[in-house]
Amino acid sequence: MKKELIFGIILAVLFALVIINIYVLNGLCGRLQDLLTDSRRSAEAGDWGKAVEKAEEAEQLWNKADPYTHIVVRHSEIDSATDAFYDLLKALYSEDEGEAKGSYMLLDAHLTSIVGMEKITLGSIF
Amino acid sequence: MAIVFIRTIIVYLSLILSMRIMGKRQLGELELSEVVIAVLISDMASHPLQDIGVPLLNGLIPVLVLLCCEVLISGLVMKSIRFRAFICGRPSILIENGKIIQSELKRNRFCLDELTEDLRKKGITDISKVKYAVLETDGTLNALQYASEMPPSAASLNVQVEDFSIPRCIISDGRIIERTLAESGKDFAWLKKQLEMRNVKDAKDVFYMTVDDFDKIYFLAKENNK
Repeated sequence: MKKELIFGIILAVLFALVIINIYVLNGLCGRLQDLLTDSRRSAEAGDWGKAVEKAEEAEQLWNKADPYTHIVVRHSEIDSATDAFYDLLKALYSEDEGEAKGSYMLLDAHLTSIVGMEKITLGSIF
Repeated sequence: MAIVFIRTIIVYLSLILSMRIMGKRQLGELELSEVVIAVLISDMASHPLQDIGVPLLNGLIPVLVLLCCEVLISGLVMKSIRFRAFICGRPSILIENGKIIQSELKRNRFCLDELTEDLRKKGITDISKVKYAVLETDGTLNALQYASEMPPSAASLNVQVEDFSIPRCIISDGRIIERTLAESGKDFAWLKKQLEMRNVKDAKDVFYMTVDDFDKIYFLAKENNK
């Protein structure tokens, strides 16, 4: 029974870790989305300098989390999100309002998708 | 990750259930949970190997979850008779007193041809001579003939025969297996004496040496030292 208990505990620990992973990813993507929201508001207000600053901050945060995200998120999703970050920065540097708007939406969709894939819902399980 | 965890448990349980419903004859010689583990692990572990874009954890977590499930299920199977019956099923008697129990045959989806084929593999051609034929939980068929059809044993013939014991390997390819030497109740002094009796100076010159409980020794020297 000792063996079963050990493996039962391992199973419970694994479950706890995957739940923690959801919270960590949720937190990371939440912070990124907050920064991007601030950036978008600044861009909409015509403050491109602040918009770039916030977007760069978000991009740095995303790159800093790379060692973790590469372990727990599909690499294709990470690459898509990273590309979307650079597309957004490109639009902000060139102060292209229309492209920036689309890039914000695309990046937000990628981040939402990363969180959504890990969230325990009937849709994601089945 | 959580999705992988939950999906693994769902797939494992649904495979157990579906294979349980499919019946014993699908199993071969493995127990149900072992078949499910074999089917799942081989497939799941290979995904991160084939696609480097998939995190390795996506392959490792399912394997670890399956391992835990298997240990827990096998532990519960040992503890609970009801759970064992649910997971492994119960042995089914297909032939009793020379008569095929058709309802059991149908219940196990075991056709007459398969039954006679399995009996022929055991050297039985006449069903009327079978006392019991039992389809075990691992899918194998065991047939017991009437006592009158069974070969006589030494005991039934009142014949004295020598008992036997399993020989223990004490030297394998020049290496002394100390554990089996001790298990045999022997020591190095005894071994040295045995080697001297066979004109061998060192155990390294012995390819294979065994001893059983009746001190019967099998000795084979290395060919290049002959």
